[in-house]
Amino acid sequence: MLELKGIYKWFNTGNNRTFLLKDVDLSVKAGEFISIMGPSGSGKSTLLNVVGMLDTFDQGEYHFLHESVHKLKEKQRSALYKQYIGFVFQAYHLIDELTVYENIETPLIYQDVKGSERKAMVADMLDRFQIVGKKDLFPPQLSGGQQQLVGIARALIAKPKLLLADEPTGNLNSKQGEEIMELFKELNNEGVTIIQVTHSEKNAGYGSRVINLLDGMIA
Amino acid sequence: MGKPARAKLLAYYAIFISVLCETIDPLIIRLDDGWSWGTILIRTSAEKTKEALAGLEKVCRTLNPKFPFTYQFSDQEYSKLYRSEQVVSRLSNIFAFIAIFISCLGLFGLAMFTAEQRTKEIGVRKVLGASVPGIVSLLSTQFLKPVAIAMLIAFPVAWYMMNHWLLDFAYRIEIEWWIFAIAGLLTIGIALLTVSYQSIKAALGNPVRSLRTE
Repeated sequence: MLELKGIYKWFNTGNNRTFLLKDVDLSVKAGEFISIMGPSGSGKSTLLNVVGMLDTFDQGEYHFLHESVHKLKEKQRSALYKQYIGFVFQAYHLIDELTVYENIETPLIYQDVKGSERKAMVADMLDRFQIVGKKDLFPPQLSGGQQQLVGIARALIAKPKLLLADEPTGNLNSKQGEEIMELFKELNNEGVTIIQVTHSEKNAGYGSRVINLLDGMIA
Repeated sequence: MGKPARAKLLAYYAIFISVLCETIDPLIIRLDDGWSWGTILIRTSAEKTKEALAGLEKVCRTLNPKFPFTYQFSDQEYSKLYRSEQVVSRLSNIFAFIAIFISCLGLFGLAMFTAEQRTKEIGVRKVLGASVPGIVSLLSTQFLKPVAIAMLIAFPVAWYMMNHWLLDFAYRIEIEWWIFAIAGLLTIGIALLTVSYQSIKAALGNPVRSLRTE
């Protein structure tokens, strides 16, 4: 599904070059559930952002489906990720001024899905996550677990092929976290490819493969 | 003053000037032996103003050396009639410029504040697939609402005051709808120009930076 070859990312301070990612090779097949682990500052989030095309890299090749991402312009990259990739964040990153319903609907608006179709898709999603009763509430009125549910619903609404999650349970208590991980497993069984960044061995256990990062290199 | 000399002077052209505030009333130019002269209007050819003035002074001296020869140009006299209107127009230009400048500063500050406040939202929207133009218009259009309200208030007041002022003139223009249309478009244009810098800056920002949790 995607392949990274010799990816480097760095920044320069004076004469020193600090590497965020160093010669990273990674290939992910469709249907995998990968956990990226490693200490703080080892480049886990950076790697996830590079895979999600939110961040650029300085050297190397990145192939996603049939596209060579390193050759694409910003606009084409954005068109690619909004169609195929869903993001889940540790801090949920819901839009506080929009209701649960509107939050879930937003990605569809940016993909120019028609109004009636949007309505049906959002209704399905609300139904599936059992948050129909919360659809008119605003994110700050929900618990952390519920907010993350909305975040996942929003990431899945456009039927992405790849789900990227940056410490999705980081702000949740263990019970909420477990529910979220169960949900991920279920989604994976339905065919969604998942890459998650996590600190917890237990969460990594839900995945099919673990990648350990240290100082920007795959250990 | 002898008759031939006076006739010679009058042989030139006399015109009547009226302020635009008054209608042009019927006019009589009279030639009367018994009438004591104070002022006469004389038309000279433009290139020969100097010679004409010298000649006139000479004529005046020969007629009566004790009579002071003074003259004014009719175009200067004419423009004096509108001095107050010209001053008002200059002042209102200056004050309008200051007012627009100050409100733009305010709008700029407001745009900066909102862009700062909505950094996270902008980042989220970009991750969800929003385009740069989409975000710029999202941020900019919210500033058009106060501008629209300002226009709703300003137009009737401006119309009333301008109409009132114009009533002082016998000959006046009509206040047309397109004057307001142009003013409105200009206002929106200036507001968008002020706001767009901040909006574009915010929209071009890297979402990774604005969504960092640490």
